[in-house]
Amino acid sequence: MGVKRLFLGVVVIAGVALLAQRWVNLPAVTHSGGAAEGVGGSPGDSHRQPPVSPGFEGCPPDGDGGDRTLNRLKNRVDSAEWAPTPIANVLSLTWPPYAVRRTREEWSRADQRAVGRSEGLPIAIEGYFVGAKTEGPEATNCHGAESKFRDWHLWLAATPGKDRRRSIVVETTPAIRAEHTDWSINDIHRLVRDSTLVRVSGWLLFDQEHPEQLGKTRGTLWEIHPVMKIEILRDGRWNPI
Amino acid sequence: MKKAISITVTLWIEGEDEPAHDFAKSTSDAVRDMIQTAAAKYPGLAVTIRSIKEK
Repeated sequence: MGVKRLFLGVVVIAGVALLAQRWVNLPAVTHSGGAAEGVGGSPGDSHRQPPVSPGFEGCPPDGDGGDRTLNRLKNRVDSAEWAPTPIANVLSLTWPPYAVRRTREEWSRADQRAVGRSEGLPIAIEGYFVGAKTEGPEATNCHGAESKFRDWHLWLAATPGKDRRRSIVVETTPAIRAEHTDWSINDIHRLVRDSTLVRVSGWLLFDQEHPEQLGKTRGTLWEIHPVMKIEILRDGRWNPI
Repeated sequence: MKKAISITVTLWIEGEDEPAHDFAKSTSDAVRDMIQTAAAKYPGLAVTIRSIKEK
Protein backbone atom coordinates (compact mmCIF):
# COMPACT_ATOMS: atom_id res chain seq x y z
CA MET A 1 0.00 0.00 0.00
CA GLY A 2 1.37 3.40 -0.89
CA VAL A 3 0.50 6.78 0.44
CA LYS A 4 -3.00 7.14 1.80
CA ARG A 5 -4.94 10.37 1.81
CA LEU A 6 -8.19 11.44 3.37
CA PHE A 7 -10.18 14.50 4.22
CA LEU A 8 -11.01 15.07 7.84
CA GLY A 9 -13.65 17.55 8.83
CA VAL A 10 -12.87 18.99 12.24
CA VAL A 11 -15.36 20.95 14.26
CA VAL A 12 -13.90 22.93 17.10
CA ILE A 13 -16.07 24.79 19.54
CA ALA A 14 -14.50 27.61 21.51
CA GLY A 15 -16.29 28.84 24.60
CA VAL A 16 -19.98 28.14 24.93
CA ALA A 17 -21.93 27.22 21.85
CA LEU A 18 -25.16 25.39 21.32
CA LEU A 19 -25.53 22.97 18.45
CA ALA A 20 -28.92 22.00 17.17
CA GLN A 21 -29.24 18.56 15.71
CA ARG A 22 -30.84 18.47 12.32
CA TRP A 23 -33.22 15.73 11.46
CA VAL A 24 -32.94 14.44 7.96
CA ASN A 25 -36.35 13.82 6.54
CA LEU A 26 -36.42 10.80 4.30
CA PRO A 27 -38.78 10.59 1.36
CA ALA A 28 -41.82 8.43 1.82
CA VAL A 29 -41.50 5.89 -0.96
CA THR A 30 -43.14 2.54 -1.21
CA HIS A 31 -41.65 -0.80 -2.03
CA SER A 32 -42.86 -1.79 -5.46
CA GLY A 33 -42.29 -5.50 -5.07
CA GLY A 34 -43.03 -8.18 -2.54
CA ALA A 35 -40.52 -9.94 -0.35
CA ALA A 36 -40.10 -12.75 -2.84
CA GLU A 37 -39.61 -10.43 -5.79
CA GLY A 38 -37.28 -7.90 -4.27
CA VAL A 39 -37.54 -5.09 -6.79
CA GLY A 40 -40.83 -5.26 -8.68
CA GLY A 41 -40.32 -7.37 -11.77
CA SER A 42 -36.79 -8.33 -10.79
CA PRO A 43 -35.40 -11.65 -9.58
CA GLY A 44 -36.16 -12.97 -6.14
CA ASP A 45 -34.28 -14.98 -3.56
CA SER A 46 -33.39 -17.75 -5.97
CA HIS A 47 -31.07 -15.30 -7.74
CA ARG A 48 -29.13 -14.38 -4.63
CA GLN A 49 -25.71 -15.80 -3.97
CA PRO A 50 -23.09 -15.32 -1.29
CA PRO A 51 -20.81 -12.44 -2.24
CA VAL A 52 -17.28 -13.33 -3.27
CA SER A 53 -14.91 -10.62 -2.05
CA PRO A 54 -11.25 -11.59 -2.27
CA GLY A 55 -9.78 -8.13 -1.71
CA PHE A 56 -7.64 -6.10 -4.06
CA GLU A 57 -3.88 -5.64 -4.14
CA GLY A 58 -3.31 -6.02 -0.42
CA CYS A 59 -6.49 -4.26 0.62
CA PRO A 60 -8.76 -6.79 2.40
CA PRO A 61 -12.40 -7.09 1.28
CA ASP A 62 -13.68 -5.23 4.34
CA GLY A 63 -11.39 -2.25 3.78
CA ASP A 64 -9.62 -0.36 6.56
CA GLY A 65 -12.53 1.07 8.54
CA GLY A 66 -16.13 2.23 8.46
CA ASP A 67 -18.93 -0.28 7.92
CA ARG A 68 -16.98 -3.47 7.29
CA THR A 69 -20.01 -5.47 6.15
CA LEU A 70 -20.94 -2.77 3.66
CA ASN A 71 -17.33 -2.67 2.42
CA ARG A 72 -17.38 -6.41 1.83
CA LEU A 73 -20.52 -6.06 -0.31
CA LYS A 74 -19.03 -3.18 -2.27
CA ASN A 75 -15.90 -5.21 -2.95
CA ARG A 76 -17.63 -8.30 -4.29
CA VAL A 77 -16.45 -9.59 -7.67
CA ASP A 78 -18.80 -12.48 -8.47
CA SER A 79 -20.96 -12.39 -11.57
CA ALA A 80 -24.54 -13.50 -12.19
CA GLU A 81 -27.38 -13.35 -14.67
CA TRP A 82 -28.45 -9.71 -14.57
CA ALA A 83 -32.23 -9.22 -14.55
CA PRO A 84 -33.60 -6.24 -16.50
CA THR A 85 -35.17 -3.86 -13.98
CA PRO A 86 -36.92 -0.53 -14.66
CA ILE A 87 -35.09 2.40 -13.12
CA ALA A 88 -38.36 3.55 -11.56
CA ASN A 89 -38.53 0.35 -9.53
CA VAL A 90 -35.20 1.07 -7.89
CA LEU A 91 -36.16 4.70 -7.28
CA SER A 92 -39.32 3.56 -5.52
CA LEU A 93 -37.56 1.24 -3.09
CA THR A 94 -37.83 2.31 0.51
CA TRP A 95 -35.54 1.79 3.50
CA PRO A 96 -35.84 1.78 7.30
CA PRO A 97 -35.06 5.27 8.67
CA TYR A 98 -33.06 3.90 11.62
CA ALA A 99 -30.61 2.24 9.22
CA VAL A 100 -29.45 5.56 7.79
CA ARG A 101 -25.95 6.65 8.87
CA ARG A 102 -25.62 3.63 11.14
CA THR A 103 -23.34 0.67 10.53
CA ARG A 104 -24.96 -2.64 9.79
CA GLU A 105 -23.81 -3.95 13.15
CA GLU A 106 -26.14 -1.40 14.72
CA TRP A 107 -29.18 -2.34 12.65
CA SER A 108 -32.04 -4.23 14.18
CA ARG A 109 -33.00 -7.58 12.72
CA ALA A 110 -36.13 -6.00 11.28
CA ASP A 111 -34.03 -3.37 9.49
CA GLN A 112 -31.67 -6.05 8.18
CA ARG A 113 -34.65 -8.00 6.86
CA ALA A 114 -36.19 -4.91 5.26
CA VAL A 115 -33.00 -4.02 3.41
CA GLY A 116 -32.23 -7.65 2.69
CA ARG A 117 -35.43 -8.05 0.68
CA SER A 118 -33.79 -6.20 -2.20
CA GLU A 119 -30.09 -5.97 -1.45
CA GLY A 120 -27.88 -8.40 -3.29
CA LEU A 121 -30.12 -8.81 -6.30
CA PRO A 122 -28.36 -8.94 -9.67
CA ILE A 123 -30.00 -6.29 -11.82
CA ALA A 124 -29.55 -4.45 -15.12
CA ILE A 125 -30.91 -0.94 -15.57
CA GLU A 126 -31.25 1.05 -18.77
CA GLY A 127 -30.76 4.79 -18.63
CA TYR A 128 -28.42 7.66 -19.32
CA PHE A 129 -25.29 8.68 -17.49
CA VAL A 130 -25.79 12.23 -16.25
CA GLY A 131 -22.45 12.60 -14.47
CA ALA A 132 -19.21 10.82 -13.61
CA LYS A 133 -16.28 11.45 -11.33
CA THR A 134 -13.41 9.65 -9.64
CA GLU A 135 -13.97 9.39 -5.91
CA GLY A 136 -11.42 10.31 -3.25
CA PRO A 137 -9.67 7.81 -0.99
CA GLU A 138 -12.12 5.86 1.17
CA ALA A 139 -12.19 3.16 3.82
CA THR A 140 -13.69 0.59 1.42
CA ASN A 141 -10.51 0.76 -0.64
CA CYS A 142 -8.09 1.17 2.31
CA HIS A 143 -7.77 4.90 1.56
CA GLY A 144 -5.49 4.04 -1.35
CA ALA A 145 -4.22 7.26 -2.90
CA GLU A 146 -3.54 5.97 -6.40
CA SER A 147 -6.34 6.22 -8.96
CA LYS A 148 -6.54 2.43 -9.26
CA PHE A 149 -7.80 2.34 -5.64
CA ARG A 150 -10.57 4.85 -6.25
CA ASP A 151 -14.20 4.16 -7.15
CA TRP A 152 -15.84 5.86 -10.08
CA HIS A 153 -19.03 7.55 -9.00
CA LEU A 154 -21.49 7.49 -11.92
CA TRP A 155 -25.02 8.85 -11.99
CA LEU A 156 -27.68 7.04 -14.01
CA ALA A 157 -31.05 8.64 -14.82
CA ALA A 158 -34.12 7.87 -16.86
CA THR A 159 -33.59 10.91 -19.03
CA PRO A 160 -30.38 12.44 -20.41
CA GLY A 161 -29.02 15.75 -19.19
CA LYS A 162 -27.36 16.96 -16.02
CA ASP A 163 -30.15 16.67 -13.50
CA ARG A 164 -29.06 14.19 -10.82
CA ARG A 165 -31.94 14.75 -8.41
CA ARG A 166 -33.73 11.61 -9.62
CA SER A 167 -30.62 9.64 -10.48
CA ILE A 168 -29.24 6.37 -9.17
CA VAL A 169 -25.62 6.22 -8.10
CA VAL A 170 -23.78 3.33 -9.74
CA GLU A 171 -20.14 2.73 -8.87
CA THR A 172 -17.26 0.90 -10.46
CA THR A 173 -14.74 -0.52 -8.02
CA PRO A 174 -10.98 -1.13 -8.26
CA ALA A 175 -11.24 -4.92 -8.43
CA ILE A 176 -13.83 -4.87 -11.20
CA ARG A 177 -12.04 -2.20 -13.22
CA ALA A 178 -8.90 -4.35 -13.08
CA GLU A 179 -10.93 -6.85 -15.13
CA HIS A 180 -12.04 -4.10 -17.54
CA THR A 181 -8.84 -2.28 -18.40
CA ASP A 182 -10.55 -0.87 -21.48
CA TRP A 183 -12.95 1.22 -19.34
CA SER A 184 -12.00 4.88 -19.05
CA ILE A 185 -13.63 7.74 -17.19
CA ASN A 186 -13.25 9.85 -20.34
CA ASP A 187 -15.38 7.34 -22.23
CA ILE A 188 -18.04 7.69 -19.55
CA HIS A 189 -17.88 11.48 -19.85
CA ARG A 190 -18.41 11.04 -23.59
CA LEU A 191 -21.49 8.90 -22.95
CA VAL A 192 -22.81 11.70 -20.72
CA ARG A 193 -22.08 14.36 -23.31
CA ASP A 194 -23.63 12.36 -26.18
CA SER A 195 -26.72 11.33 -24.18
CA THR A 196 -26.07 7.69 -25.07
CA LEU A 197 -28.54 5.11 -23.82
CA VAL A 198 -26.66 2.59 -21.65
CA ARG A 199 -27.41 -0.60 -19.76
CA VAL A 200 -25.65 -0.95 -16.43
CA SER A 201 -25.51 -4.33 -14.69
CA GLY A 202 -24.39 -5.12 -11.19
CA TRP A 203 -25.39 -5.77 -7.62
CA LEU A 204 -28.18 -3.84 -5.92
CA LEU A 205 -26.81 -2.34 -2.70
CA PHE A 206 -28.17 -0.06 0.02
CA ASP A 207 -25.60 2.59 0.95
CA GLN A 208 -26.81 4.20 4.15
CA GLU A 209 -23.98 6.72 4.37
CA HIS A 210 -25.08 9.61 2.14
CA PRO A 211 -28.63 10.77 2.98
CA GLU A 212 -27.51 14.41 2.67
CA GLN A 213 -27.30 13.90 -1.12
CA LEU A 214 -30.95 12.89 -1.50
CA GLY A 215 -32.90 15.14 -3.82
CA LYS A 216 -29.69 16.91 -4.80
CA THR A 217 -27.31 14.49 -6.43
CA ARG A 218 -29.21 11.23 -6.03
CA GLY A 219 -32.81 10.09 -5.92
CA THR A 220 -32.30 7.11 -3.63
CA LEU A 221 -29.82 5.48 -1.27
CA TRP A 222 -30.07 2.31 -3.33
CA GLU A 223 -27.17 1.85 -5.74
CA ILE A 224 -25.72 -0.55 -8.23
CA HIS A 225 -22.44 -1.27 -6.51
CA PRO A 226 -20.29 -2.71 -7.85
CA VAL A 227 -21.05 -2.16 -11.51
CA MET A 228 -20.14 -5.36 -13.33
CA LYS A 229 -21.05 -4.51 -16.90
CA ILE A 230 -21.69 -1.38 -18.99
CA GLU A 231 -23.27 -1.76 -22.41
CA ILE A 232 -24.45 0.46 -25.23
CA LEU A 233 -26.87 -0.28 -28.05
CA ARG A 234 -25.24 -1.00 -31.40
CA ASP A 235 -27.25 -2.27 -34.37
CA GLY A 236 -30.12 -3.07 -32.07
CA ARG A 237 -28.01 -5.19 -29.71
CA TRP A 238 -26.41 -4.50 -26.37
CA ASN A 239 -22.62 -4.54 -26.56
CA PRO A 240 -20.02 -3.95 -23.83
CA ILE A 241 -18.37 -0.53 -24.01
CA MET B 1 -17.58 39.79 27.09
CA LYS B 2 -17.71 36.07 26.51
CA LYS B 3 -17.81 34.92 22.89
CA ALA B 4 -18.14 31.55 21.19
CA ILE B 5 -17.70 30.23 17.69
CA SER B 6 -18.01 26.94 15.83
CA ILE B 7 -15.23 26.44 13.29
CA THR B 8 -15.10 23.77 10.59
CA VAL B 9 -11.64 22.87 9.32
CA THR B 10 -11.03 20.58 6.36
CA LEU B 11 -7.70 18.79 6.37
CA TRP B 12 -6.07 16.70 3.66
CA ILE B 13 -3.77 14.17 5.21
CA GLU B 14 -1.34 11.81 3.48
CA GLY B 15 0.88 9.16 4.94
CA GLU B 16 2.13 5.59 4.77
CA ASP B 17 -0.05 2.94 6.37
CA GLU B 18 -0.66 -0.79 6.31
CA PRO B 19 -3.54 -1.82 3.98
CA ALA B 20 -5.92 -3.13 6.62
CA HIS B 21 -5.08 -0.53 9.24
CA ASP B 22 -7.80 2.01 10.01
CA PHE B 23 -6.32 5.15 8.50
CA ALA B 24 -9.32 7.29 9.43
CA LYS B 25 -8.97 6.39 13.11
CA SER B 26 -5.23 6.92 13.32
CA THR B 27 -5.37 10.27 11.55
CA SER B 28 -8.36 11.38 13.61
CA ASP B 29 -6.47 10.54 16.79
CA ALA B 30 -3.45 12.46 15.50
CA VAL B 31 -5.53 15.54 14.68
CA ARG B 32 -7.20 15.42 18.09
CA ASP B 33 -3.78 15.31 19.71
CA MET B 34 -2.52 18.20 17.56
CA ILE B 35 -5.45 20.41 18.54
CA GLN B 36 -5.28 19.57 22.23
CA THR B 37 -1.54 20.16 22.33
CA ALA B 38 -1.79 23.48 20.52
CA ALA B 39 -4.79 24.62 22.60
CA ALA B 40 -2.62 24.62 25.70
CA LYS B 41 -0.76 27.57 24.20
CA TYR B 42 -3.94 29.65 24.40
CA PRO B 43 -5.17 29.48 28.02
CA GLY B 44 -7.71 32.23 27.38
CA LEU B 45 -9.66 30.00 24.99
CA ALA B 46 -11.67 27.00 26.11
CA VAL B 47 -11.47 24.71 23.11
CA THR B 48 -13.73 21.67 22.85
CA ILE B 49 -13.52 19.21 19.98
CA ARG B 50 -17.08 18.24 19.15
CA SER B 51 -16.46 15.95 16.22
CA ILE B 52 -13.71 14.76 13.93
CA LYS B 53 -14.86 12.63 11.03
CA GLU B 54 -13.84 11.64 7.57
CA LYS B 55 -15.43 13.70 4.83
